[in-house]
Amino acid sequence: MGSKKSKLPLVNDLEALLGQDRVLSHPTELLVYECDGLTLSKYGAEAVVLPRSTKEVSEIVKCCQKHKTPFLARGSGTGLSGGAVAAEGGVIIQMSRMSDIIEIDYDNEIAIVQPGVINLHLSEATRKNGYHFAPDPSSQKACTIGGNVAENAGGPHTLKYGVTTNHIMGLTTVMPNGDIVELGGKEDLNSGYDLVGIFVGSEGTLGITTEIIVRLTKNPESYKTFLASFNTVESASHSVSKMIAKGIIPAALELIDNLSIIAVENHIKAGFPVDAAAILLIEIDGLSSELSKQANQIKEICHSSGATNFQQAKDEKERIQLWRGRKEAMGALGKITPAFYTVDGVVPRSKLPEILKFDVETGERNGLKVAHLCHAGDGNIHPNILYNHMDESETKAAIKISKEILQKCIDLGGALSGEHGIGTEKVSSFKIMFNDEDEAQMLAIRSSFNSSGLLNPSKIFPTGAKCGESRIRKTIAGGGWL
Amino acid sequence: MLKSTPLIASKTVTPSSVNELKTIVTEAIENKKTLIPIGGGTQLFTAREKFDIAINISGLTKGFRHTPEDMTATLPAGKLFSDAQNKLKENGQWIPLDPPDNGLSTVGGIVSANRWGPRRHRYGTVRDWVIATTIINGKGELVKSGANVVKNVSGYDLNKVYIGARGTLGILVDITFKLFPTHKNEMTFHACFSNLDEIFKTASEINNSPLEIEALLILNGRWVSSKAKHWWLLIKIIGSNESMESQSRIVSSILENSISKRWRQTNNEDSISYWRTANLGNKNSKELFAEAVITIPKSKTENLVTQIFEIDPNISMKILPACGALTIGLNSENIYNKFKEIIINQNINVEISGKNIFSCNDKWPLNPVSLPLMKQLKKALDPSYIFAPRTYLGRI
Repeated sequence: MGSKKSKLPLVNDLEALLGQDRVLSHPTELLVYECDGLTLSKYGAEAVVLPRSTKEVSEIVKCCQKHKTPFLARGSGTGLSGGAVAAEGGVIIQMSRMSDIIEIDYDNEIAIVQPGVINLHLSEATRKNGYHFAPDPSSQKACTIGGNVAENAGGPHTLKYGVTTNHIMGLTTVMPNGDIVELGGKEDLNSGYDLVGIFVGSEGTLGITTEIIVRLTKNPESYKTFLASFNTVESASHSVSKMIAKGIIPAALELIDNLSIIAVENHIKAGFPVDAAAILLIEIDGLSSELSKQANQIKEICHSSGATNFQQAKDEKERIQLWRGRKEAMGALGKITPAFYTVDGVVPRSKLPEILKFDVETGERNGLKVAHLCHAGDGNIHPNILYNHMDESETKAAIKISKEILQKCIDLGGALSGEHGIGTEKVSSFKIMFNDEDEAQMLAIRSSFNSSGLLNPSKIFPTGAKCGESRIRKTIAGGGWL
Repeated sequence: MLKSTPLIASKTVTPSSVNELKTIVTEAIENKKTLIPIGGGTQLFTAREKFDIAINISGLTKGFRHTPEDMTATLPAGKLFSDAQNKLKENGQWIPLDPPDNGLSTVGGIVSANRWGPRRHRYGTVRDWVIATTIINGKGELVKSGANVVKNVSGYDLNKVYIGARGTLGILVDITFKLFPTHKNEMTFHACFSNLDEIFKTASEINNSPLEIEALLILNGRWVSSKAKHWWLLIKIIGSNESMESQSRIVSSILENSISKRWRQTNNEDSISYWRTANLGNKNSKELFAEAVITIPKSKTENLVTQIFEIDPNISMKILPACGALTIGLNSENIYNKFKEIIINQNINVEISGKNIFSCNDKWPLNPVSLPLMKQLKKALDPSYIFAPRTYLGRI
C-alpha cells in the first residue's frame, strides 16, 4: 500500500496518463479517502486519481483492468454506508474535478451536468429562472450529483417530488471494461430496457457515471412551513401516519426528537422548543390558493394527535432558520456525543410509531441513547445511536442496536436503506431482506456488466464479499448528513 | 382502431396460482420450450415468432392487498387494471395513471407494456409508481425486488427493467404501487383551433401559468372524428374548492385572449366523453395501418408535428406537448413509409404497433446505442432465452 518507497507500476501508469499532480499516492494524501460519512470502518486505497473528462475516466479504468486492481468512483464522500471507500484497496476515482454544469436547457426543462457538480449549485444556477433540482439531501451543500445518482439520494422534499431516480433522464457511463456508453437521453421515456433505472442506485457497482441529464423542476408558487410540538414521540409519529392515511402529502414532513432538538438548539438556535419530546417540521407548497385548506387539515390532525403547539414560520427568515436547524442537525449531534451511528432503515409509513418506540427501547436495553431525525413522511427513520467510539463495548453495542433496528424494519415490511444504500455497512444484513434467489438475480446483472468484479467490490452483496465489520477500528468521532 | 398482431403459440395455458405458473416455467426451461406471457392481449406483439406456450396471466388474480394508511397496494398481475383502480378508489386512493384501456388490460400488461395516458403530464409513467415486484425469472424462481416502502436503496432497482420489458425478462406475478389520493374537484376546458402555431402557443402559456394541471393535450380533428379538420386543446385542472375558481379564471382568460373561436368549460358528461375519446380515439374511424408512439425532447414537438402534418393532414395525432409525447395514427402504408423516413432521418425514439407490423425492426426502427447492454441484460436474466425471444427491440 501507500507506505512503499518506490511507486507501484500502477501508480506510474496512472501518472503517465494524468500527470503527477492528479495522482495521489502518498499515505498522508490518502488518509482523507479512508472513509465516508460512516467513520466506523476505514479502508486504504493505493491511489486516488482526479480525472477531468469521460475519456480520462475510461483510460483510468482500462489501466486498472490491466493491473487487475479494484477501482471505484467517489463524489464528496458524504454517504453513510461505507460506499465510497476502497474496500479491497485499489484506486479511487475522485470525480470532484468533473464539476461543470455543461448545459441548462430551460425549453426542455433539463440540465446536463458532470458528476462532480455539487447538488445545491445546480439549484442555485437555475433559481433565477424559476427552477431547481428536486432531490435535496441534507448534505446538498457538499454532496455531488454523481453521488446522488449512485445512491439514489433522497432528502426532505422527495416526499412530494420523488427521489433521484425520478429526476434522471440520461447518463454517460464508463463501463467496467472502459467502454463509454450513453443510456437514456433528453426524452423522458426511451425504448428498450430502462438501463438508467437500474444504474441509478446501483452504488457505483455497474459503471462510472461521467455525465448526467437531469430533470429540472419548477419552483412552487408559494409555500408554508409549520412547526408542530408534541409531548411524546408516539403522538408525533401518529400524526404523520394520520396525514398519510388521509391522503395529505406535504412537500416535506420531518420528525425530530428531543435529543436532536437540544443538540440543534445548542448549536444554532433554530427556534425548536427544547421542552418538546418531538417536533414535526412540515412544509406544503403549490398554488397559494391551495395551501390554506391543506394547512388547516394538517393543523387539525396535529392537534387531534396531541400537538401542544402548532405554529407557522412567520417569514422567510424564520423558515430558513427552521430548515437550517433540520439540515444541520447531524452536525449538531456531534456536539453532544463523541460519535454517533446513523441507521438508514425505512418502514411502511403506518409502522412509524412502532419502529420509533422500538429504536428507543433497543437503545435503552443496550445502554445507549438514540436520537431521531426522520424523513417521517417517507418512513425513513434515521435513528442516530450515540456512543463513545473510544469505548469498545459502546461501539459493539451501537452496531448491535443498528442490526436489531434493521431487522425490525424488515419484520415490519420495510427495507434496509432509504437513501444511503447498502455500501459495506449493511452487507452482512443483506440476507435479512433478500433470499438467495433475489440476490442471484441482482448478481447476474452485476456479473454481466462487471465481469472482472474489479469495479467497486465488496459492496451491497454478501456473496463473495468480506464483512465490513471485520475492519472496524477505533477512529475519530464522526457523523454525516441525512 | 388498431388491432394487435395475432398470437402464434402451440398452446395456451392459464395458471391460477403462482405455484402452477412456477411449475410451467420450470418445465419449459427443462424442455427448452419458449413462453410468451399475455395479459389482456391488447398490446401483444410477437413479430410472427412461434412460441411453444402462451401463458395467459389473467388467472393470477389472488393477493390484492391495499394498505390505505401506507398509500400502497400490491396488485396481482392478472387483475384487470380497471377493476383494481375501482377497488382502490373505494378508499379514496388510486394509481394516477390512465393508460388507454378498453376494460381488458391487466395490471401486468400495463406494466409490461409501460402504457401511459394524458395524466402523464402530471404524474409521469409507470416507473414513477412501482415500488416492488415479484416475478418468475429465467430459472423458474420466484424473485422479489423492492419493498412496501416509498423510498428504498436496498439492492438493485430491478423493478425498473421489468417495466416495459414486455415479458422478455420474466413473468410478473404481482406489482406493488405507491398510490395517490383521488381528488374531488376537476375541471375540463375544451378549445378548438385551426392554427397549429397558435394551439402550441396557447398550450405553452397554460403550462407556464400558476395552475394545477393534471392533463394538457392537443388532438387533431382526425383523432376524434373522421371529418373534423380543426385542432382540439383539452385541459384538465384539479384543486380544492378554494382554488378552482381562480384557476378557472386564469384558463378562461388565456383562452379568451387566444385566437380560439370556440372554447368552453365542459360539463361533467362531456368531460368524460372528451377524455375517453382522447385516450382511445374515434371508435368510428377506419382501422389504422399502424400506430406510432413517440417521445422526443419537448421543444422539438411542434416542429415534428408540422412535418408529420405535411405528409398528410388526415393523419390523426394525440400530443402531450409538455412531455414531448405523441401518438400518431398512420392510415396507410404510403403514409407509414413517409413517416418512417422522417423518424429515421431525425433519429427519433419511436415504437410502432399494429397488425401490419411484423418485425422488430418495423416496430422499433432505430436501435439505441445501449442495445449491446440490453442484450447482456436479457442474457443475464433469461439465460435460456425462454421468454418471448426475438420479440423485443433489436430482436432481443
